[in-house]
Amino acid sequence: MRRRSLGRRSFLRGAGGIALALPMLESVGPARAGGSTAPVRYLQFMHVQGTLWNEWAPSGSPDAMVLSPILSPLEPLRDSILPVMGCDNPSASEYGVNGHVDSGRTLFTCAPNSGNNDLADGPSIDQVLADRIDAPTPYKSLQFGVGRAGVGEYQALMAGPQDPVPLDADPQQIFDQLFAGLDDDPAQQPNAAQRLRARRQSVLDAVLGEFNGTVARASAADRQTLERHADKLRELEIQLSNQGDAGVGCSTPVVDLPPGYAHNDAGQDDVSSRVLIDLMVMAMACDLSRVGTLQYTNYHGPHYPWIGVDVPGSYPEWHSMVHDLPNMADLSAPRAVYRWYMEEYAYLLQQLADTPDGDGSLLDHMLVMSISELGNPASHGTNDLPIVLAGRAGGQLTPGRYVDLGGARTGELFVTFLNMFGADDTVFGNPAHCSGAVSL
Amino acid sequence: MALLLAGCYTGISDQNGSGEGTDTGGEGSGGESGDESGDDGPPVDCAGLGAGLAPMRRLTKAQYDNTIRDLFEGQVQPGSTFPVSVIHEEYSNNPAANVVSLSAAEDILIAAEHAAVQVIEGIDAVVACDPGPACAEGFVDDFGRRAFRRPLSTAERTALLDVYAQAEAEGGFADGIGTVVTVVLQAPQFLYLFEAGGEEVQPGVIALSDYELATRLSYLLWDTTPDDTLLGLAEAGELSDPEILREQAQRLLDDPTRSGPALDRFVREWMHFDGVPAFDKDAARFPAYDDVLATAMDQELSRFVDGVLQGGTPTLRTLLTSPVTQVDATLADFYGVTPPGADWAEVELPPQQRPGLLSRPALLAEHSTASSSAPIFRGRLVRTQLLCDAIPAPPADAMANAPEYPEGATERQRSEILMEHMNCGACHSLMNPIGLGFEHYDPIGAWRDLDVDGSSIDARGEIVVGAPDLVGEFDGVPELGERLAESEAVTACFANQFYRHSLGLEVSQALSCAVEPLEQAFVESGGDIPGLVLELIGSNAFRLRVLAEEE
Repeated sequence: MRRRSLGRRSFLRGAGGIALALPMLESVGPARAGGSTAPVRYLQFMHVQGTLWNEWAPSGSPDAMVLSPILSPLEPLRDSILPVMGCDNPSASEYGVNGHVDSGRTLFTCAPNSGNNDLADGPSIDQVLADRIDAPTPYKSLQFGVGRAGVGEYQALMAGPQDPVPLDADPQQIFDQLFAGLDDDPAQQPNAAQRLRARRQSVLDAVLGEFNGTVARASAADRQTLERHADKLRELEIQLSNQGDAGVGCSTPVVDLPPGYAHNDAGQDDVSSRVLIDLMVMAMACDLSRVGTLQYTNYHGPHYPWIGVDVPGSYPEWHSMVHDLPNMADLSAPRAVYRWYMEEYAYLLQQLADTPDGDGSLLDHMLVMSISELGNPASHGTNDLPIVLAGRAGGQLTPGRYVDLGGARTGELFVTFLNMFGADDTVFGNPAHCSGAVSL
Repeated sequence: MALLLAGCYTGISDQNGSGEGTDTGGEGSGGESGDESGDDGPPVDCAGLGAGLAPMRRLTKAQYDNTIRDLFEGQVQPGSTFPVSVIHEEYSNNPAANVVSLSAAEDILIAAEHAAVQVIEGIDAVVACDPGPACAEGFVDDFGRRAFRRPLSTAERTALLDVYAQAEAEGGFADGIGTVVTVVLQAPQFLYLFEAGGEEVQPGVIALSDYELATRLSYLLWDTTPDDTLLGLAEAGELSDPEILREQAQRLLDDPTRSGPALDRFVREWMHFDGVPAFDKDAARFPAYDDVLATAMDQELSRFVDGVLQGGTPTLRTLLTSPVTQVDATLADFYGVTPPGADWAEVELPPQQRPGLLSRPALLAEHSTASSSAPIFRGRLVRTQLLCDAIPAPPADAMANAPEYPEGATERQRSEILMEHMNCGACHSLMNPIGLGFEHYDPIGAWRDLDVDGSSIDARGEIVVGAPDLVGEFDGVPELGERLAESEAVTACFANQFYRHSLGLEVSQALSCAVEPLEQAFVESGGDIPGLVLELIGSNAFRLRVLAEEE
């Protein structure tokens, strides 16, 4: 794999002016080698439909944990993980749509319901962390959906009240946006696309000038729309001038998709999962962002052909089967699927562990969380969510054990996250469900 | 006119003191606000003029793509990254479907650059004059006027010429022009249909300017930016003459290559049709449903709609009852008719099997699950889109408390169990009995005589609640289509839907004082669809705008 050229990438994203600035920008590289100042990143991994709690929960003493059948794919990484029991999301029950939408919208936001029942009325933890970290990265956050792009019924990520953050799902498009052109020869004359990219700052300045003129003439309701759009352009402008601080493990990932691949085909979620994990790991290694989300979006359930599991014939689809779990004598199908999600999580963690970063691995410098919107899937309950933290967060997390929080709330867990990243927040989401940080 | 069905069950809404609304539009859950007076505050009226509300609308992806092609007269192809609308229950031009997120802002930037690269690389095809300052000024004036759909203000002109001058100094003439294009294609004047209005006809009501009328008309009937004729008439101040506006509407309608796709898009969004790729269906049970068949069905839907609108009797009745459609070899095989000689040809199918829009396989496949015929979805489509009734979202514990069904049960048996289970029937009686009338169509829209258990299909259905001319039993989609086509409530609902589509309105924004005259005129016309379009465009609901309270 070829090493990327930092200077070139900065040029491609149009940092600071015109094409002629290229030679100057090259002095920014090469990528940081070694050193212990690697930044800490946050990544959340959301799978769907809860788990089989009795086959998920670790046993033994916390410091000598015995991993359950569903968590067993994480065995090689047992020193890097921290399963969390006893953490609930009480906010879900306050949204009156349905068991999935309510739990999905509140999972990362813990937001109170202002009464309109639509999208969540508050930001999600990933976006708040990104705001607090305020890293000089080209992207505030990255969010990849296995299966579906855009804003969904299950909208979990929010930049603010009623302000959804859409998922990207097409691996080729993600690659093109994040990595394409990185290996171009900087000595070549820039082409039209590169020259335009080099002018992005001045173009956005001109566009913002047009917004100023238009906003002044707009009605109150329209002004809100225009001002929000202009705010996003200002954020974009800042991002575009950021170069990040690529670590030693940074290189251009390989996107190798099989013939006939379609990212929105649930039957190929296994392919999507791996390629999106690879892209996310390298985006973190290259410091394109310090906050990421990987979300599995098919809650109605693919039939999981790649693990040879099919929904038993009496159920029209996976989702219906999950509702009937308490009545099922043979749990082999759901067990295999829940285990598969943990295999993907193990793959993600292994990639992070294998990628050098600073004085250790990327995983040493990350806080990773696997979570699902549901605890008990059959009743769509949101207590005892299956949470597995991982990484060392730059020394702030001590994995290799499990912890039972005994009925803490997700908002409290997220305050703990914020504190780990140096923010002094004491409340996250609905204050009624948050009494400050928990002890991990 | 919409029937208020909120409260068909006593929901979960108050258990946490979270207010009373359980019917406020959870996507995918059937909620539509049935409150015509708006969500907050006192009702807005139409100033006694039949004037309506109109929020500012951002270009949809379809509108953007068409606009790019037309602005550059086919020399530039639109990029793929322009964000798609996030449609919940409303039409794609509803403002809530087009909120610009941070990543959407970047995607719009990339799409603008994609167009500008083509402009730079093909500058001679885009700009006819000799490169130089005068040529650049001419381009800014002309392109600016067509992209902003009105002449540039002095400030706008100066700003764009500054952009040109800076980029020209760095990279030459083509870079200067290309950079102007990059700015214009991200500017709010281009991306938003912004209607500041002309004169105030009375306090709180403005008449649209001529240019704004040209824009509304063009995006409604052609889904694209106004052509030179419309801009010329606007410049001459003639479009505010209702007669001329109507003539222009007729001219646009008379070009089916452009009005056809625009009206087809309305029908697709009205019918909640989003496309059904082969992988959406259970391949083991429906091996015939491959990408070739899925694509053919999708095309047939457009060809059927087009056939109705271009035919001799373009009425709602024809739309809901006509057995005439077009087939290619794939669909001929699917329908069991003789394959056409040409690619596509008109056929008349058995009216007892394929009467009208509701029997189109593409729609039937859309409103099914991967492996079941889903009377709930089909009944819901009729209830919300043809009857304009609101169905509250299911309670949070609905699925957790769902009944158990015996293995191999038919959809009719499952519906009977569901309707008797706990309080489910209170709302499901609005949907399932209608949907059971579609049981002759399997999950891919194919006709079937035998049910999943081997018994003969029973396609009797019933409209349980509704206007007196709608309520009652029916046998299959042929009788249902007839019943709907005869109904004044359904006819009025269609006019209401088209009005909402025309301005991206939510249910609560379609003021009854604005839309009722249209509904009435459409009923009196016998459901004449082109007549409805012309009636709307000539109406005060289209030509005037009520300023919302906070304006």
